[in-house]
Amino acid sequence: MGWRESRSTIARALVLLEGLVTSPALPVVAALVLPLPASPARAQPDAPGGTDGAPEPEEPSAPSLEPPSLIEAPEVTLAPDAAPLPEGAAVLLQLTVDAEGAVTAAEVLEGVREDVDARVLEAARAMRFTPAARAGTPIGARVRFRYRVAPAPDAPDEADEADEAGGPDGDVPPEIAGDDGAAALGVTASVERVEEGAASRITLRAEELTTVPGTFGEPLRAVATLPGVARSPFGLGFFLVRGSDFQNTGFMIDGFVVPLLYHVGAGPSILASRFVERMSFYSGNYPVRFGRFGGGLIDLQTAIPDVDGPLGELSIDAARASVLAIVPTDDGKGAVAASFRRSYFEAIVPLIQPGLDLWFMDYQVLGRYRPTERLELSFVFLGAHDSLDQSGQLGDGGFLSEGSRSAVSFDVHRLITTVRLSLPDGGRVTLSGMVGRDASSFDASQPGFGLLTFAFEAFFAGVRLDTQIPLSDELRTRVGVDVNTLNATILGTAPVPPGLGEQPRPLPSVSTSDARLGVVEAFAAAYLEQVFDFEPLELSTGLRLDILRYGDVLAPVFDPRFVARVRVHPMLTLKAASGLFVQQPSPFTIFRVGGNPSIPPERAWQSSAGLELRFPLGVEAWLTGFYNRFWNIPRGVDEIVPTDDGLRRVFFRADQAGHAWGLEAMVRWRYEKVFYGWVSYTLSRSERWHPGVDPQVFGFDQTHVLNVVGSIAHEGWRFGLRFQLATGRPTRSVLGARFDADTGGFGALRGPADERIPYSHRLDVRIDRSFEAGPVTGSVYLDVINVYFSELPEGRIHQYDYARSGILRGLPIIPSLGVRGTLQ
Amino acid sequence: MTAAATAGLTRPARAPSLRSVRPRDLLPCLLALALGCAGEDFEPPSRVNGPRLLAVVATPPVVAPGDDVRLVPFAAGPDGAADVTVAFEVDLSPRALATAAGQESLFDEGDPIALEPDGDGAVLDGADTEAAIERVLALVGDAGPGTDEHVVRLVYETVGLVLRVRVTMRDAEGEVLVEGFKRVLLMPEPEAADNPPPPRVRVGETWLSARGAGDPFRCAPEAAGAPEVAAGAEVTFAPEPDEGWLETYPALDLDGRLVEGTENAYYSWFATGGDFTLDVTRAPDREVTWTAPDAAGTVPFWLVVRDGHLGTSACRAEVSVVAP
Repeated sequence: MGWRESRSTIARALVLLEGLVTSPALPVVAALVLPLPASPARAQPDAPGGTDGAPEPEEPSAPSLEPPSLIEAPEVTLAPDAAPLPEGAAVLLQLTVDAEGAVTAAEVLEGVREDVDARVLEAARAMRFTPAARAGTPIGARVRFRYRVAPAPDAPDEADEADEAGGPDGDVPPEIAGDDGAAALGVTASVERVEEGAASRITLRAEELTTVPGTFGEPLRAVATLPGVARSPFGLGFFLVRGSDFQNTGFMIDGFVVPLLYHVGAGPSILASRFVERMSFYSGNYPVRFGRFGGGLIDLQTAIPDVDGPLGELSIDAARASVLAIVPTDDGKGAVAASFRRSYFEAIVPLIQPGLDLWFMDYQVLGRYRPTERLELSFVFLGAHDSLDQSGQLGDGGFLSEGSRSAVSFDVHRLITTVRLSLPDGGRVTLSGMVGRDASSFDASQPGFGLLTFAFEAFFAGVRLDTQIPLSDELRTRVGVDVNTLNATILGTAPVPPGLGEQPRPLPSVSTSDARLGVVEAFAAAYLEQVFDFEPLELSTGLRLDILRYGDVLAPVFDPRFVARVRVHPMLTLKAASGLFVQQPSPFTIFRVGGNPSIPPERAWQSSAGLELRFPLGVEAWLTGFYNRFWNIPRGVDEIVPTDDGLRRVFFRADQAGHAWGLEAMVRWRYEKVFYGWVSYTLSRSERWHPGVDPQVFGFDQTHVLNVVGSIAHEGWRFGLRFQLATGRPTRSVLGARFDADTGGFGALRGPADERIPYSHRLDVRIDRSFEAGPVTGSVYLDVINVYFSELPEGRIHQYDYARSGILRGLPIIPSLGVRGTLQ
Repeated sequence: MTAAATAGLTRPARAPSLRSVRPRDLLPCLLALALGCAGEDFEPPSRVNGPRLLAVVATPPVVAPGDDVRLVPFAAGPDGAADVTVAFEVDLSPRALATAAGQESLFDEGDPIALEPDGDGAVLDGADTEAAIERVLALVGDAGPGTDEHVVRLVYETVGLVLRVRVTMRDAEGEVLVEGFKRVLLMPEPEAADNPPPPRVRVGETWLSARGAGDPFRCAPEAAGAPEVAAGAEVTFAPEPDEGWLETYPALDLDGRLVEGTENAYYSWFATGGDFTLDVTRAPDREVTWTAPDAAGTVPFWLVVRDGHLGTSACRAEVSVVAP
């Protein structure tokens, strides 16, 4: 989709990796999203060298509220003559847990069957918890709790499940009602049990998501600390996962693709963290219900947090403000919520630099209604806008050269509606639809250029139907369809590659003829997943059929996948997974002018194997080895192809292949009231090649990536550290330079990619302090990125003639002070 | 040079006193710091502080097989002239010519031949290019559409084949200072075959021109007196705005259709001292501002005019920097 290329282009353009892109068409795309340098011959970057990159201060963390966690639960045994229950049958309860950890009230929200509900309700009243706490002080709380019921009288009971789950099930966020009617916790709880059909999925709890140092409390940025994820240049919100490229990692909201999850310029998430019920990160081998990405996947599930009454929240920091409101209706059956965030850079920056206009906004409106216990209707309408306009910076005092100006904007809007139906036999049906619009625009001019304009607009529509059917104790089925369409248009005076017979010029030549390029794409998929549960073996087999229609291509693609898990010991689970994945090319590569409409879809074969260990005291460990094989990777070319009608220019060819292998390890102290933390390490190697070229290390390969995260709470304070160490990315040695007498410039003579930029290491620190002031609760935080001002090398830059070079530095010290208050 | 300039932001560094620093002046530095671009101190392309090869003038830049081409280097040094030698070689093998048509693997590789020196430059013999073209056309034969061989012939007959003449500049001791190349376009009926006229440039109010009877690479004052600039002062360099010499040429667009391309004028500025606001200019903003160095003296400068279609002209002149 259009944003895929935008994302890749943004990242690549910011990184300016010379040598990877040889087609004249890709610089075109880069030019579309980047201000053109006024004097391109000034310096020769060959590595990360963007025009932005400093993250902005982000949303403060949630109040330091900690949910109760289960200590013990009595067994629930069905009567011997009771009808069997399907595997996974669960009763959804609402429990009131007092400050001593005892259950003082219990209510069935979603039942299974009358006789079962009664037994579960009885057992629930005898449960014991560690109490919820605010700032370390025990408080009363109301919690939603999903109580899984064993299918047979002698089967393991919920206590066992609870031990595996480690607390309230994360399908529903815990709601904490303090003695004073305290606020909801906000972001999701965790589900530690790996979902069926997924080789691995990592979810983080609310506290973990919002207090990780270096993330400014932005939950989604915690992904950058997880195994399999390479260090992102300049802290960009795009991820390199298991040796794949930026655009191979998908971003989804409620199962539908979005172009980005962050505001441009390393800004905050486009979605208020309050409305993120669950963030699931798949580093690979994601389930068959997802598709069209060759690498990893991040899926956000939105929801309105359960609250007792109307809730309002205001967050303010130096760069932006946000308001959020949640209003429950109809005795809690329904709820509406809205959030709006607006930066005010434009009120501050012009005081320092007149003419520079920079701002962003995002909004979300959510609604939910549960007319019955089994039916839920919901919608989310979200959008974001980013704008950077340097046009006012002309003349003396501006840091742009005279005659040079640029303006760029990005828009994302989505409306997603969902119907969820819980079936009496434990099945579930989810039907969701999406319409959306993405747009980006770019205006630029240079001395000697006319005004260069570019407008990309894409309309999206999609439908998903997902049905979970528990056929028997040993067999569960999931089936669904996933349909998406895209209609993208480019309008403007986009520069196009020079015609044959044009010669290189001292300055880029821009075609200013009006351009209107259109692409229509349609993707339809059906999937089937069968889960065979033969304790201790669980085998998930899935098949996804994607039919891709774009350009001159109509391609049915079969993606078989399987995941096997064997619980060889209560503490040890072995796992293995393998599967095929497909990803369609971006619209920019398939335009008939400047592209190649026949380019086939990109393919990936992902395999992994590993083990999971659960130790006492809440310590867990994962060890996973992976091997990914990629083919049909598009690359930029500039070829003259003979046809019966004469010549044809080809600018993209999908003949690149690659592979990546590695080892991921993670040791995690699961969230406790006082401490959480993890150590993640990734060892990997990623290579690419194409016909006639031997395998070369991938341009963003990082051999070692180490993250250490720890956070400890004490009497209302929370202190956290995060350390990251990563191998520098490869770079090709510069052997010399060659003078081009027709442009006056120099081209580098490069050797193989046998060098790397230096290691990157940094330390981030975060301090949170929660407070209560009358009816307002909140928190203040100080988050400092790169506290010891490490160099954070991003690449090498060169003098115009390559006679001298230096290191391109990354983020400097970035402190952020924020506060958030909640009134309920 | 400041970090801002290193980052491609082209306003060059001055040396502001602390009293002259305004808060907003700090933003570029802060931005550059935030962007990680600080720390390097690169020379701008317009600064000549050692022997430099600034251009190679081919006459004519577009040629029919059988006609000679004269290639003249335009070099510069910190004192104005450069004590260097320049040698030229060219590969006229069928493979090199086929590669010029985008067909890299049609024929066997060949060896480059050295061009015959001619004064300061060298001559590409028309007999050699004629023989080379005849050889490659014989090899491609009458191959029809849809073949690589047909592409070679089609490209040659429509937009021409580009020869890459290798250029090597050495100092007086024979050490290689610059390696590069100059393109020469070979086509049966040359179009856009003229170089730009010798430059004419205004420095402040003084016009300098290389269009007289003298050295075509020397811009001399049209009236008495060389241009003078006060030390540290800014002065405008403006090329002759008349660009009526621009030509058109054939090109194949992205769909393979024959279209007409138009040349553009590009002005590259060089000096041994001071700072240009831009290294290269073009219409309509041809002018460039030069900030004179703080020390008085004579500062050589150079102007290279390119038409964007292999045509080049160039000249050297001096500016007298005087104490304010």
